[in-house]
Formats: sequence, structure tokens, C-alpha cells
Amino acid sequence: MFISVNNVSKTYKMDKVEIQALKKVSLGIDAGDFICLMGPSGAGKSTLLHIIGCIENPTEGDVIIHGSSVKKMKDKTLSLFRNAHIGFIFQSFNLLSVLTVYENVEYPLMIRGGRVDREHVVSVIESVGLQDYMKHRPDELSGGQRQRVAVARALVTNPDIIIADEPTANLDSKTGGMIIDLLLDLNRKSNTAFLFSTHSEAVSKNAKRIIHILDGELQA
Amino acid sequence: MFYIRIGLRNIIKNIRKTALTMATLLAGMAALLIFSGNNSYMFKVMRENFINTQFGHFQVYAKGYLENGNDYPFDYLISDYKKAAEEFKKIPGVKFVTPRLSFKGLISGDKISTAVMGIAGNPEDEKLMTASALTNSPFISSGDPSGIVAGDGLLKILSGGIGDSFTIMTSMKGGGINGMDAVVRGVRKGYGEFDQLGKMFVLADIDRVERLLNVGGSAGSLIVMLNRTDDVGKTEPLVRSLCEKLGLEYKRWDQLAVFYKSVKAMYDMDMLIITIIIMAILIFVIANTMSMNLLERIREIGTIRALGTTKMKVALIFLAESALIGIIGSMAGTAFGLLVSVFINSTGGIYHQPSIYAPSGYHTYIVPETRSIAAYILLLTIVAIISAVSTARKASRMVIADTLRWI
Repeated sequence: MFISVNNVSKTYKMDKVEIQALKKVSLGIDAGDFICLMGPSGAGKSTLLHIIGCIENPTEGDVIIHGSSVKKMKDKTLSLFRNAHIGFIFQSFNLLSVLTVYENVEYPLMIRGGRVDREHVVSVIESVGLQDYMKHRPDELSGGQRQRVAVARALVTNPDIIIADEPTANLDSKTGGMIIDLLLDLNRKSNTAFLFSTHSEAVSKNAKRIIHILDGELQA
Repeated sequence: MFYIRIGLRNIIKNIRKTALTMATLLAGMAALLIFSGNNSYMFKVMRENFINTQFGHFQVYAKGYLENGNDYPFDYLISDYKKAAEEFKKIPGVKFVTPRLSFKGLISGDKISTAVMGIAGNPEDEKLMTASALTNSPFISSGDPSGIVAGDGLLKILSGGIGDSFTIMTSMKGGGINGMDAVVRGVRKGYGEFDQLGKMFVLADIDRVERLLNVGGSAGSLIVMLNRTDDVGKTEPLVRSLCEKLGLEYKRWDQLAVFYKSVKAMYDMDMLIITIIIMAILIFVIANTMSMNLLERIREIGTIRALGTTKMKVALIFLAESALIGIIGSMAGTAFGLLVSVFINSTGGIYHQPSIYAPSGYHTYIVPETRSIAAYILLLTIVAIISAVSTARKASRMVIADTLRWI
């Protein structure tokens, strides 16, 4: 188990109101896992993904990745840690509109500094079937193509885990199915774990493991 | 390079929004360039006028003259100045060396006597120096010892003109009174009613005035004129060492041109105030643009932070973008300013009214210095970067999860 979520709680304070998004959640993720996180809106899926993705701190509890406590890391270390170990796929793709497909995929490697292995970037783009669109800008692509760019961008650093927050929510069912098939295929070919959230039963049926969450608590 | 590429693409993408900022930068840069270009030309003209008509590049005196010469002028004369002048002429870059001897006295016509403050010099050299301030009239020459050039104000008082004869009376070195006949050969233009110097000005041949004052072979000062004003710094050590060797002392033109320095200081202050106002406007405009820019890119910031971009690098993206706005805007402003300069220069430049140092008035042109242009581009770029500091700081400190939720 390389990711361990231990008794994580998260409380948001909005003026005088406190909202508990997560209540003592514990979870383990192994290399090569393909986990679906299911639950209705407001159940705490995104919060849990953000905490596991090291972009949000828990109010209580801790996340251990490769034996390192995320809680103790400073922001710069955490940024470098995310870049090296975690890939993200967002519901709205979140591509950088001013960069081409190639540059978007190249971005996580560029921010490391130093020389980028162009062949590696190209091979990742090929693995998602966008080799003919490398010089295109995001606004020249369909929704499915944009999400495939996002998948390539998440994969390019060879992360230990890819976290996808409702990756098919903005796609039609056919395209969404193709994206999940792509993720499954990539999961089979690599040792990268995938953790994604969805509302869709159809999408979740492909997962090796399904975790239900409701009102901030994992369901048995 | 990566940040510049992203910055450039964001500028192009948001060109309509950055257009106003660019236009402000363009106008600011063009204003600075035109104003400074005109000042620069004007002060070059003024400087050369001072040097060529009055001071030379260096003025050499007998030791002690600077301290006591005003009170006891006859005690601080350069004896055998011709020999000293020959020594100064040997300094590389020296165009000519000419003596000056000043005197005070009375000039009398048939009906009126009035005070004169005269200078005596070598007619041929003085012609080179004061020719620009003359009316269309002949000049004194060495073969005509009684010839004088008189100020137009003086001639007005004396009701005289070219060819008229007068008598000049003055005190000799020993204290006695002496006089000389003077025939007006040339007229020096004044700048009008308030030109007090023009009401007393007389220029005469030094050989004649030496006899008048009974100071044969002595001069009050030597004017050292160089080929180029830019060589003053390079030549000064040679002048200094020669002065030490000959027991003389000297002053540079800029140490003598007090009026020039005070006018230049006033213009420099104007320029500084204009620059500060332009910079302040630019800071507000650029800061506002960057702030609006930030609002539209909150989700992008969350994304790049999630991908591992450090806070520092997020800040750098915004700073680089702002720096690019500064560079592009100021370069466009330079091009625009140069075009306006060419237009103004081609239509005859800017006319300035007559003054003490330019009795006929003069035209100035806009001739920006390359060094000034580079300095202003650098300054505007730095201002653009400073304007974006607050936005860059805000962007880098955003909570990633909050930015990803931003709609």
C-alpha cells in the first residue's frame, strides 16, 4: 500500500457556519489500483480527491504517500511531490488555452526545468491517439479529445497515481465510455493507480474497486 | 523562455484587453522620448553656445585669480601669455587658445558718456567665438587697433552706429587715467530691452587694450577651445598638469556656466516630475490590467499549481507577462515617438524666443539619445514588473482547491 489515508476529516468554515465534508475517512491505495469513488453531489468526493492529491490539507488525520506524511511537507516540497507522483484529470479538462496539445502535455515536465525528452512527450500523446493534433490549441478540439489531452498530461510524468475528478461528467456517454476504456487500458499497461469519482453506474462498473461515500463517510 | 512564451501567448490572446495598457505605455514612452529628445538637443545647443561665445572649454588664469582676481585684477594677470598659449596649443585636441583681458571704464561720444564693460581679445579668434552673436556687420581685425565691436544697446544709448568714433577711458594698472579712440566696426546683438550686458558691451583688440591698461604682454585669462566638447574629460588632466607646471589655475566651462547649470537643473526637475507622473499612471493602468487578468485565470492558476508549479513560478508567470507588456509597449512607444520626432523635425523643429544666449531666437529639434531610449525602456519595464507584483503575489498565494472550484 503506497497511499494511506488515516482518519482524515475536513471541516470548512463559512462565516459562522461549519461544514464537515469528511468524517474520519481511512483508505488504502495500492499500486495499479483502479478505484471508483461514487456518491451524490456534496458527499465529499472532490474533497477526498483533493486531499489525496495533496492540493488540500485535512483538518484532522494524515495522508501518507510512500511513507512520507503529506501534512509535514512545505508548499514547495509538496508542489515538487505532486509533480513527481500525482497526475490530475479534471472534469472541465483544465487545459491551458494558450498552449498547443504538445505544450500542454509537455507542461508538467517543463516546470521541472532542464531539458524535456520530446520523444517521450510524443509517445504519450500517441498513446492517447492524438498524434495528429499536436499543434492544435484546446479550442480546436472536441470534448473527448480535450480530455484525452488531459489524460496524456497526467501520464507524462509517469506518476504513481492519477486522480480524476468526474472525468466523464462533461462528455457524452459514448465519449465518456471511451475515456474510461482509455484509462483502463493505460492502467493495464502501467503500474499507475487510478482513482476517479463519478455519479455514473455505467462508468463505475469498469472499476476494480468501488468506494461509496455519503455525507463525508465511506460506506461499507 | 518558457514563461516568456506563455506570457506572450496570453498577451496575444487578450490583446483587446491589453490594448489600452499598451496604448498608455506607448503614449507615455513617446512623451518621454519627445520631451527628453527636445531637452537633450536644446541643452546641447545651449552648451555649445556658452562654450563658443563665452567660456571656451577651459579658462586659464594666473594663480590666485579665482580667489582675488575680482578685487585686484591687475595683480593676477598672466604675464607673457603668448608663451603660455603656445604650450596649451600643444595639447592634443585643442582647436585654439586665445587671450582675454577685461576692462571697465567710460565711453564718450559727442553728447553722452556711459559705462562700459569691455573685453579684449585676439580679433581673429574672437570672430570665431562671437560671430554667431553679431548682426550682419564687419568685425574688428588685427590691423585696425582702434576698431571695436559694440553692443547694440550701447550704440542705442550713444546714438551711434557702425563707423562712428568714440573715446574709451579707463584706469591703468598704476591708477592713472588713459584713453583710446574707438571706431565701431561691428555690432553685437542683444536680446532686447532687458539686455544689460548689451548696454555696456565693448570688444576690442587685446594688443591695443594692453597699451590702454599699461599691462603689456599680459592677459586676464586664456580661453582653451577644443575640437569636441566630449573631449573635456580626457583633456582636463593635461590642462591641469600644464597649469601646475606654469603656475596657473583653470576652470572648466561647466564650472563657469552657472546659468546653464541652473536652467538645466530646472529642466531636469521638470523631466523628473513628468517621468514620475507618467510612471504613476502606468502603475495604476498595468496593475488594473493584471488584476483583471488574474480574475480570468483563477482556474488556470489552480491547474498549474496542481500540476506541481511552485508559488514562485506562478508569480514569475505573471511578472514575465507584465514585463513583456512593458517591453512591447515601450518599444512601440519608441517607434511612435521617433515617427513624431521625424515629423516635427521635418517641419522645422520647435522655435524658441530670443534670450541672452541666443539673441535671434532659435529652433530646437527632437534628437533622442540612444542611451535615454534604452534607459526609458528599462524603466518602463521595471515599472510594469512592479505593477504586477501585487497580482503575482495574490496569484501565488491562492488556495489550490478554491481556485479549482472557481466558476
